[in-house]
Amino acid sequence: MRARALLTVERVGDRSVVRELRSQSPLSLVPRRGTAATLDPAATVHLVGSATTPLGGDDVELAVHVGPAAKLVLTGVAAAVALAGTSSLTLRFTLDEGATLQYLPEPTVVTARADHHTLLRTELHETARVRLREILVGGRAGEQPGRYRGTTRVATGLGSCPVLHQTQEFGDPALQASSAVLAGNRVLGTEVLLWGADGEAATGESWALTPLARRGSLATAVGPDAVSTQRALAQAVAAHPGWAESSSERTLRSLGMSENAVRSTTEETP
Amino acid sequence: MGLTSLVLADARFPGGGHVHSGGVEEAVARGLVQDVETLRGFLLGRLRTAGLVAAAFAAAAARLAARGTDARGTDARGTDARGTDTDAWAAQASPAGAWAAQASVAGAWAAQASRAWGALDAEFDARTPSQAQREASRAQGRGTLRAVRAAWPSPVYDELGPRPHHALLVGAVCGIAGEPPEEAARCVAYLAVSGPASAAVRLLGLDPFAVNAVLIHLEPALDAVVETAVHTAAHTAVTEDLPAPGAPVLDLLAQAHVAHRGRLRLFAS
Repeated sequence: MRARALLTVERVGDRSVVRELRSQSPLSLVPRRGTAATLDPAATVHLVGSATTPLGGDDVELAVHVGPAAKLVLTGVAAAVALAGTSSLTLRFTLDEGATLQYLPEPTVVTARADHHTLLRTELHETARVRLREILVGGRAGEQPGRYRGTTRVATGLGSCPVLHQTQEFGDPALQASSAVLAGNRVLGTEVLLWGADGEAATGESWALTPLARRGSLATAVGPDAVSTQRALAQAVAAHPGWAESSSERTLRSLGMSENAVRSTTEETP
Repeated sequence: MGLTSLVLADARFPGGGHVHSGGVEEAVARGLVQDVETLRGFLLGRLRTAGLVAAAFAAAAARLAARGTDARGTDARGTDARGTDTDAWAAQASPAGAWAAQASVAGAWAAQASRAWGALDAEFDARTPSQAQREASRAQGRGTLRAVRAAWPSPVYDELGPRPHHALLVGAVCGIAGEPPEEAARCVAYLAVSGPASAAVRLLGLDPFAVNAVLIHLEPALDAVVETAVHTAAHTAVTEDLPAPGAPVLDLLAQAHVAHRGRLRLFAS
C-alpha cells in the first residue's frame, strides 16, 4: 500500500495543538485526547499500524512539522513487524524555533523474508530540541533476520549543518557476526539527543553515550533481546546531562512543585 | 599504484598510525577477538563500514584536491586550459576587464573549494558519532600532515585545517600528487584493516603469516569497497549522499577504550 501522511503541530497559548493531521491506511495517526491530554503542554500523537504493515509493496511517508515553540511526542503503540517483501518507510521531521519533538516508536522487528528500508530525516532550528529513538530487532525469537537498511540524518540550520548521518544494516550474515559491527547481537537500539547540555562521553558494558561533533549526543546499545537492549539504552540516555535535567524538572512539576518551589527547596539545602 | 599511495600505505610512513589499533585492543580485552578466525570477521566488518566511509571520503578529497591543483596551475600559467568547473565559474562571473575576470574566477573558485572542504569535514564528522574515533582520526591526520607538508607541498592543506580527518588528508595528498581517486580509496581502505591486523598480532601473539593471509583473503571485499567508494564519489552531486554505514560495536569499543584510561594499554585507540 502507498500512503502519505502529514502532521502539523502549533503552539497556541500554553498548549501545543494538532493543526493538520492526514493519514491513510496502513498508517494511522491518533492524537491523545481527554483530561490528561489537555493538561499536558505537549501534544501526543500515536502511530498506529491499521493494517498488517510493513508488508511487501508498502511505501509509507510521513511528514511532521512542529511549529515555533510547539511540543510533540510521537509514539508507537505496538512493535512494527516487517514482513515478507520490499517495503519502505520515510519520515521527514521539521522543527521550527524553540520546538521540541520526541519520536519514541516501539521496536521494529525485521522478520526472515523482509526487505525493509527506512529513511529518517530531521531538520531543525538551532534552538529546537529533538529526541529520536530507533530499536531494531533482527528476526522474531529463533528466526534469522531479513534485510533491513535504514538511514538517519539529523541536520540543524534548515538542514545545512549535518549533525549525524548513519546507515544501519541488518541481515548480512558477515556484518551481523562481525565483532566490529553487531558482534552477533540481535538487537540494536539508538537514541539521538539534541536536548540541552551534552557533557562528557559515558559507557557501560553494552552501551555508550557519546557527544557528536557539532551538537547533540548519540546513545547506542546492543543486546541479545529487546528488553535488555532497551534497559541498556535507557541507562545511556539517563547519563545525558541535558536530558537528565529536563526529566527531573518534569518529575517535580508532575509532583505539583512549581519552579519557584524547586528553587527554594534547593536554596534551603545546606 | 603510484609511489604516493604506496608510501602513505606503508607501515613505516612517519604519520603516527602505528599507535592506533582501530578498536582491536578493546575487542581483545573483551574477548570478542581471540584468534585468527574472529579477527577475520572483525576486519571484514571494519572494512565494509568504517573502511567504506574512509575510502569514499578519500576518493572525494582526491577529486577535490586534483581540481584545486589544476585550477591553481592554469591560473598561474594564464592559459585557457581550465577544467569544467572553472569554466562554469568564468561564465558566471564576467565583470569588465580580463584581469578582473580572472581574479574573480580565482576568488570564486577559492570560495567554492573552501565550502566543499568544509562540507567534507562536516559530513565525515556526522558519520563518525564516536568522539573517541573522531579524536583518533584527527590525531592521525595531524601526524600525517607534518610528514606530507615536507614531501608533497601544496596550499590545499590550508583548507583542511591543522587537525584534518586522516582519510580526507590522505585523499588530498593523492589528488595533489596526481594519483586517481581509486588509489586514494584503496590506500585508505587498506589502512582500515592493515593497522588493526598488525595490532592483533602484537596483542594476541597470533601467527603473523596466518594474519597476513587473512589480509590477502580480504581482497575481493576490498575491491568492492574501493569500487563503491570511487563510484559514489564520482556520481553524487552532494556530499551528503556519500555512504554512511554504521558500526555500532566499533563505536562502543572505541568509547570504552578511552573510558579505561587507567588501564595499561599499548594503543591510543
